[in-house]
Amino acid sequence: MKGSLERLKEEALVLIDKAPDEQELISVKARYLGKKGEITAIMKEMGSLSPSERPAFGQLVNIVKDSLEDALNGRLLSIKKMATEDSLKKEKVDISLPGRRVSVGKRHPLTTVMDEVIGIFTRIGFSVADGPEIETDYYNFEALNIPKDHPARDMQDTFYISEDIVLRTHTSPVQIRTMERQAPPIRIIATGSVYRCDSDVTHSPMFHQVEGLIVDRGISFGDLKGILKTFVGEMFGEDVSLRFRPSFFPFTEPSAEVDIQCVLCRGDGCRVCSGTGWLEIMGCGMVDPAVFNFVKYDPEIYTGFAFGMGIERIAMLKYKINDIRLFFENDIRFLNQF
Amino acid sequence: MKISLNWLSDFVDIDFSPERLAETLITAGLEVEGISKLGEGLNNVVVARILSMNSHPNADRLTLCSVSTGDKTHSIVCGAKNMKEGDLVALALPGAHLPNGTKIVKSKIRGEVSEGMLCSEVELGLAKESSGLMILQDTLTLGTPFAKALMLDDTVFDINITPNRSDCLSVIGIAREVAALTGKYLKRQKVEFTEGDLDTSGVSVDMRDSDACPRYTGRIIRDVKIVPSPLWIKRRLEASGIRTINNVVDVTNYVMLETGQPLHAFDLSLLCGNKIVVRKGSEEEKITTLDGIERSLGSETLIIADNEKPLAIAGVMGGMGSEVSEITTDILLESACFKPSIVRKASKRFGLHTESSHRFERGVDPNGVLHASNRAIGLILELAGGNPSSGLIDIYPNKMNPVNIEMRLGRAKSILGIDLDMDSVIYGFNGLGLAVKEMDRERIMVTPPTFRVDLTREIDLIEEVARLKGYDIIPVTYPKVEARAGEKNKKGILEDRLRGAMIGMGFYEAVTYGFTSPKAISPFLPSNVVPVRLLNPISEEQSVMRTTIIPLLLEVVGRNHSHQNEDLKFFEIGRVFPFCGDDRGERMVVTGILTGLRYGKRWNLPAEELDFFDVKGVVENLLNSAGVSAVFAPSDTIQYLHPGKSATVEVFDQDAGVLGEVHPDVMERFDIKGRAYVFEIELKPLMELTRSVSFAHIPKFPAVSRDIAIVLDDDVPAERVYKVIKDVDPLITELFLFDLYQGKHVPDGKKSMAYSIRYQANDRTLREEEVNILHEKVLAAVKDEVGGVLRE
Repeated sequence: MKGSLERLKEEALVLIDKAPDEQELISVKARYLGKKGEITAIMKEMGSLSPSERPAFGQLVNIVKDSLEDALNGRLLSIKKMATEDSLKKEKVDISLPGRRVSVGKRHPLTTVMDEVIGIFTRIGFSVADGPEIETDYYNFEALNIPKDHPARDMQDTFYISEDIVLRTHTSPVQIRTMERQAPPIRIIATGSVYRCDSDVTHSPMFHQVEGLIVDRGISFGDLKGILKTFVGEMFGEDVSLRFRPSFFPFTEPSAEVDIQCVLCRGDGCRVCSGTGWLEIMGCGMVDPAVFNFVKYDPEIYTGFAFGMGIERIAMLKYKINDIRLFFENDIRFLNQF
Repeated sequence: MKISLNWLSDFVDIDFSPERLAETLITAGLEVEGISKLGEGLNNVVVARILSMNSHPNADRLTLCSVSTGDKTHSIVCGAKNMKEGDLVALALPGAHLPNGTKIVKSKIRGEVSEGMLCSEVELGLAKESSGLMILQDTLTLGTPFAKALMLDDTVFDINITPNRSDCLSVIGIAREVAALTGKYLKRQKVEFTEGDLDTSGVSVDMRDSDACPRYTGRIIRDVKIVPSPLWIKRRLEASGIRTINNVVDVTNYVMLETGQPLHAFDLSLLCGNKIVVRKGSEEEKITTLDGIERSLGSETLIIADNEKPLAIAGVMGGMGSEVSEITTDILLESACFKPSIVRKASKRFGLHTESSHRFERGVDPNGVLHASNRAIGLILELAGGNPSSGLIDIYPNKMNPVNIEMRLGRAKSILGIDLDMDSVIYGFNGLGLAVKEMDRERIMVTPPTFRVDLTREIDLIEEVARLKGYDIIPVTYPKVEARAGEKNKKGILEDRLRGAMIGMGFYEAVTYGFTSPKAISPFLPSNVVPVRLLNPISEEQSVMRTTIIPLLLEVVGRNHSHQNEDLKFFEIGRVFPFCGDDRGERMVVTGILTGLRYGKRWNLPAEELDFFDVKGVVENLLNSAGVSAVFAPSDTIQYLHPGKSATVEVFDQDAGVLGEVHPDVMERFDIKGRAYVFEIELKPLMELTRSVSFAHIPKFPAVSRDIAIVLDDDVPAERVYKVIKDVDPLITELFLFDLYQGKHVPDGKKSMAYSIRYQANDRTLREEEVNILHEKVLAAVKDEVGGVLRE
């Protein structure tokens, strides 16, 4: 009997191992371990054994049963695993196919640059101020110390709506509007579109400016240099040097043009900087006392400085764009690059 | 302003390179925009004389010339015909690399040796065309470098003079700056001539407007000979970009460039009544100016006239009727000072910007008038001969005296943020010709010369201090101000939010002009309304202020279509302007446009056309991102939108904007194929509410979901059905439409709407019976209020 038990075990183990699926496994289990199974049948014959043989044989049967159960469970697991693997294999996709992209848009490069500039100045305590684009002659010129019939008016080709109404030629009127509205201290930047009758690859009839103004007690030209140095360092890199050249703006005195070391050739001289190694990026100066008189600030108590720059100019340098008109054509192939 | 280095050197010693000079000028605020070297490419070109000419043995057209450079004779093969033995010519020797690109080497031409080339003006870069060789003046020395002989060895600086520095619109002015900046002396040239025996009584000046003309001088010279100017004057005028005319006219221009004082010479014989009248013009008067254009003068224009007719527009341009020409023998030289604003008005009125008006507009020193006149007379006598009057007419009723300006050293220090010592300030001022008197250790009294029209206030002097010291020495400091975080304004913060939402929904940001064409804007204007128009647009395309961004985005779509860019979504956040008579002022809007396929053509996305609900969804999302909800109302009165697919948007009971499909007529007008959907929402209503979020508890008790499908009349708006169901009970916490069907199994004129309803209480788990009762109520309400029946 012991011999046939061993034989049945071997026989069953082979069948279990070969069982291709769960179904077959169930039938193998029934054949050997079921109520009418062959091993069950042997157990029933145990009565024919002597009482002394019975315990050992019973133990043996249990061992065989256990090992078959283990084998069955093991086989079941591996069948399930194979089945899963099989079905996963069938679900395989070509991951090189393009993803399901519901497209996302892009910011305009001018907005990106504008925000970068605004970000730098707001971090150092400037708040954003605003004003109209259709502006009066008074705010755009008179109050900025640019009287009618003054040649300084030629510095900006102006679009007129009527004799006294213009499209603002710079964001500087916001300086006046802000100072009229509030007392010092002032620390603002004004941003937005400005207009000049000029159109070619580097001039657009509409472009964008950022203008800054600080008014407080004891503000000096040295402070102006400090703030703009901080700005240039943040915007173009700490290692980019800058220089201040005397210039003239009717609303600041002393006035300066600010040049930065050419960002393309690093000062060696190239086509972009016309071989000078320098790029003009903004105008600035100490607020002219005449301007303070217009807004009724006492120039003996308060001093201040203002600066202004063109966003297109900075964007053109940053992205090496050679034609300003590209910004306003809004060709998707252009916008997509930023 | 273009200025010659040689000329400048007449007044100040310059012993450093042109580049160094440019650098020095730039640091002092005289922006050098370019340096051009004349005579470039003329190395190895020398003056030579043709000794003999023989025909080339192997070529009929060529000549063998033997030419001398003084110490040496050269054999040259030449193709030109216009020369003869004895002529002086320009010889390019081997090694020369001419301005037109020709490189000269010793060569054999048809078997004959040629040791260089005889040059034409084209080859020398002096003219655009020429016939034959350039024959030189016989007085030149053989062997002299050609550039030197023809005074072409010069460097020209192009300097951008800011409008405040009229004193620098002259060679002497620049020389003065150079002298002050480099510690050199300004070399004053002696201006003297022997006055003739004529008196000036033959001519009188009637000054009728001494406000507009603070000073007028005139001097007569008789018996001048009008001929072309000598080379040195021509070269300097050319270098400054001024055309040469004849010796007298050239002298007036030359002296203007040198001194900054514009001059004018009249042909005395053409003056009626030997009289000069300085007066305003009249409406009917006309003058033909030297540019050949007849101009109506008007009563605002200051003119120089004789007894009968206008002779010149004062300070701007002379007239043809009194012009100095080859037959002129007697002249009246005007050196005067006109009021800047008067000249500027005239210059603007006539669109005539001249060298003269440029200087007068910026301010000419009345005290420099005489010097310029004398300098010019001296030169005229030298170049044209003649007999000058003894004395001159000089009408200068209110002599302009220099002003005294007090400057406080402490003020200068605090504005500039530097340390200053009184001595160096005074030294610098003296160098510029400013008289200085020390009042005490802190204050000086400064008297600038009258040509420094820019120096009238203390701040002007402080600027001079900074300019002389150089901005580089001002140390970098930081303002001592309150530590305060800066911020964007409310509008800026909202813009950022909206921009983020739009980009997230697949829109590209566009930036377009604030103006557009009347044609593009007209379909968008209410009837009988005109947009704000520019008086001086660059073109009709950019002549009116936009009242909406929609047409500009349509144009963007059109332009992209023309480059085969399809399936587009653009937005812009920008300003729109009121139309005429509109009191709303400038407004910020966010405008969007969508066109083409919803997802484009993609292998794994449906190739579906966009429809109205795409644009509505965008607007719903957009407003949601701004934290507001909107009410949409159908509208068939927005003339540029599809009457059946357009709506207005209200936010907080305010009109906030519109959305819909663009009307096919408008699409046609913009020449765009297919359909486009647009919206435009104003930012202001979205800013009204500063929303502070306070959190609502997330319900703890389970919800019960039930779906219903109802059939009802087609014309019942979905919004109404929604409201009817929602209003049944507050326990309905969520409700959405998940199917809308018309067609088979639904009668004509009816539609089937399937809603998913969620019932939920905050304080308990709803019981089945409770929900059943609520659901029955819903069905009853739908039936009673919108005639909906449960779909079988």
